[in-house]
Amino acid sequence: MNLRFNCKTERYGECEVYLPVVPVILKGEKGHEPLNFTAILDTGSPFVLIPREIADALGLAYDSTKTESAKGYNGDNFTTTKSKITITLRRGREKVTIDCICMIQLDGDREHEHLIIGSSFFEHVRVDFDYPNKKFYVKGETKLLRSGTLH
Amino acid sequence: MTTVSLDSNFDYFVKSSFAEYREGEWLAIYDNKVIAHEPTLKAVISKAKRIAPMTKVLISKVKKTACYL
Repeated sequence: MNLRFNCKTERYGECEVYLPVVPVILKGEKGHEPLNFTAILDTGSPFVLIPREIADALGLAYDSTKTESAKGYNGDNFTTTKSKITITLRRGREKVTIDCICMIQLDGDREHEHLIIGSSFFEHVRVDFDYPNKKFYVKGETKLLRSGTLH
Repeated sequence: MTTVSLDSNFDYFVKSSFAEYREGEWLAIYDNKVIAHEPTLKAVISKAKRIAPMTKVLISKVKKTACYL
């Protein structure tokens, strides 16, 4: 499994930056249809982080009374709670589907524009960044067959 | 004729700037265009469902400022 993506180019003033954004198919509980979102690969985040709005649209099961504190880059606190989600990355005929832990962001005012794909996803795949060529690759390895589901 | 797929919708997303939309708005992308844009996810899904199959619609949020995670 070898999925190749082009980076999303963003302009901030005079600067141009490249972002590792991917399309993900998210599946929640039975009775809710899967939905496709853009997500950003963030090796510095410990978990997959999903805004509550998306969790509710997918019917993800979570307990909003069992919360955990989290911090953003600038030190601002926000509240999360744990859940599980099925994430599929697909490019052409190749895809990888992984069941992983996610944190649902319960506070609504400090959301990132994309879903954040953090460490709880990366433990299942290998990612190669080729920024000079504005590309990156998500690759599966043999051990994935035990921890994730490859198709 | 090009077949619409999640791949083609993502390719359109990667190439586009969406400068004409408000920051933080939800977008539904299908067949090389934005088919719905709304302030809430619920509203954009509801609108997009009437226009295209959700299995191929790509949903994103408009981003205009640098964001540090």
